[in-house]
Amino acid sequence: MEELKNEIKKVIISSLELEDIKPEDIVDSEPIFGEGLGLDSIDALELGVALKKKFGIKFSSDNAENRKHFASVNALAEYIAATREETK
Amino acid sequence: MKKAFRIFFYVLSALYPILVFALLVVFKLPLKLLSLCIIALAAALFVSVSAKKKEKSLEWKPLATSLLFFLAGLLCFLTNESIFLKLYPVAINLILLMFFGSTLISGPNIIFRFAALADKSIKGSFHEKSVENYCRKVTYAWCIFFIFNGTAALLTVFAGKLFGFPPDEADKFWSLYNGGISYILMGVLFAAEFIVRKFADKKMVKVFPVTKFKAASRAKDAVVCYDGKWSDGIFKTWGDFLADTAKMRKFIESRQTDSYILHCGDFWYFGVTFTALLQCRKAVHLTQNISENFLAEALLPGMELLTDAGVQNSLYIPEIIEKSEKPPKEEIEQTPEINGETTRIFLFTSGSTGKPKAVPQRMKEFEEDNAFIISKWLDKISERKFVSTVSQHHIFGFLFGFSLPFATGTPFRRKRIEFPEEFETLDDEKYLIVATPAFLKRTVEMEEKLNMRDPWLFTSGGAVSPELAVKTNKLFGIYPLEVYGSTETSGIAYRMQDKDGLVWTPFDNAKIWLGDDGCLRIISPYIKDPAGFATADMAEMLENGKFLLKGRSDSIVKIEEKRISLTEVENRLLESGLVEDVKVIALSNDIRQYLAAALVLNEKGKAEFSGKEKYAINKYFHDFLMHYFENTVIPKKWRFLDKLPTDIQGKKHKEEIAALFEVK
Repeated sequence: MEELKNEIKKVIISSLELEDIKPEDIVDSEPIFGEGLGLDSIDALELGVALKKKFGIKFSSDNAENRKHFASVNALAEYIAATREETK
Repeated sequence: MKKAFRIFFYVLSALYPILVFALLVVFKLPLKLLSLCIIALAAALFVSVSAKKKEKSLEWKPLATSLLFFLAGLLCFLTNESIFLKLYPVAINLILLMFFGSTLISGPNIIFRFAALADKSIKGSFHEKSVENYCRKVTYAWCIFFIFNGTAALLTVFAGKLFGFPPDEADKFWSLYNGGISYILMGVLFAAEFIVRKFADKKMVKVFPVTKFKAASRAKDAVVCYDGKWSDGIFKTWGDFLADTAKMRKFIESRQTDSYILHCGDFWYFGVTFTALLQCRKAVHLTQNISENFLAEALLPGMELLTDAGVQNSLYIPEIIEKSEKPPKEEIEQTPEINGETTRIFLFTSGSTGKPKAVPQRMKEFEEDNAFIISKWLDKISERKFVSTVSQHHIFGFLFGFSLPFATGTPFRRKRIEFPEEFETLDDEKYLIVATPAFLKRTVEMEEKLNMRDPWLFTSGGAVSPELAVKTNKLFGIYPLEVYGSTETSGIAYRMQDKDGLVWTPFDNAKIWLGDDGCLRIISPYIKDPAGFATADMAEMLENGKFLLKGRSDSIVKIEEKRISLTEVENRLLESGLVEDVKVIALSNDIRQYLAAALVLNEKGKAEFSGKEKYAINKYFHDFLMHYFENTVIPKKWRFLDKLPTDIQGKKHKEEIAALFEVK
């Protein structure tokens, strides 16, 4: 799980070309968007695309669920792990 | 007396064929005598009509009729041939054909004139055009009928010679057709048109914008709003709309406040509250941004915030609507008039002065804008259901996501689409999508295949790149209809890349030319200044009045369709009290456009951040700007320097600043 979280952080940094920030600066439980990591709605869409490419996962067609998945690195990792489990 | 005489005459001319037959064949009246009778009749009619001298223009119809009768009688008398008596119906058909036909050419067509006389509400309404179109078809039908009927009448005149009927039989045949069958045919045509009209009326889209609707404008069960997808069947109807606006009015009227800020995630609550505020003649400020600091500046003394988001010290719309009692019927049916010219609506935009600027707007111009779209694409609109990815607090989202579907009575989705994946659920109906190019860009990357049925797309807020246009067509099966405009000017031009390439066609109601600076000047219904509105968009004018866009020129830039003033961001950074000098520029990489800021910290700033990691300083300024701007336009990259590069005049050039951000 820790490895997955680390990978997600790397994807966040590389796909959004974030500067001056290392994976360890991102707090697992902090919000990714808005005040926490400070990403915006365009970043959210972009991150969705990058995560799809990297992990082959798709997000839900349900708005509320997606908001949950994108809440934090923890939430994202859980979702990705669960989806992988399903497809195995 | 005169009236009675005229009615007598109309009956006489209608029964003319039967009378002629009766007198000629049954009573064997000599032809000469009959023709004299007819001349006398013609004279009597002429006298009765021309006696009405008080009216300025003589009525041409009875005059023409009397003239025709007179000619028929005279010719018949001179030649002793009954043919001239019998040609009368042919002439009538010919005259009617010419008259009806001439109104098709000169317009408005005759049936539409009758319709407009019978129903005074048609003139000046949005559906006037479709009524006129329908009436044109009816006029055509009558013209064809007159051709057919006139020809048939002509044949009956010569029935004796053509079909070898004996004279008596031929006369009988003539009067049977002209005095009976032709009237029956006319009746059949009337009846058929009446039935077709009922159907056409049901199908015809009645346009009732916010300033024009009445309680009876739509059926009580007509769907205004739907939740999720259309086939889920979770609807809000016209009846609900009237009831909920009545509740909201009651609430608003119970307060002293004159000026409100309105923010709703939900399009239904938005529509109800917005309409009620206008009905109560209040000022409405629309904002997508409800951050604490923004509100601290925007909420002036005496103003209140109406929202469906849980914000402190706000009026919570869902509670007002869902918890209050249903008002009595007369309050629901009553729809206070909204005057489009006196509505006070404000949209926030980033001015170049540093503070969010509330731009005043009126329903009048919004609806003129919608009217053009409706006149052009009503058929695309009315057969679909609206979904929007754009917030209705911005002008594009407001015009296309709310006021347009409201006016055309097209159901719209309660919630905005926020994730491209949500499109996957919309496979049950024909949808009309309102989106920004930024959203489309990610959607075509996210989705390989969508099973949407024949959708239609409106985009605005920025241009769609040719590559994105092609990808959009691949995914949705249609090229987006792009609208070019801004908060100040609203929509002013459009293009659809499969038909127009990159060339923009101005709206009929916009005037466009090139200023001395190479940028577009615009006069639209929104812009009253004869000098026009100076945009920052550079353009190339083409000969036919169309144009190509060539990029932006000044310190106002667009970041993923969000317009932002670089000066404003710079001013805010200076306000932090930690910055001595600053330059903000717009950059882009493979992924997106973004802002980048180069700062020189002052003494206080240096002390504050000494020993801190750069990431932490970035974050400090990011969070500071979050108080004033949407996240998207906040600088993504930061440089902290001892001095900004300048030329001899002390001017900071974009190129040199941009060099600071090149990847090390």
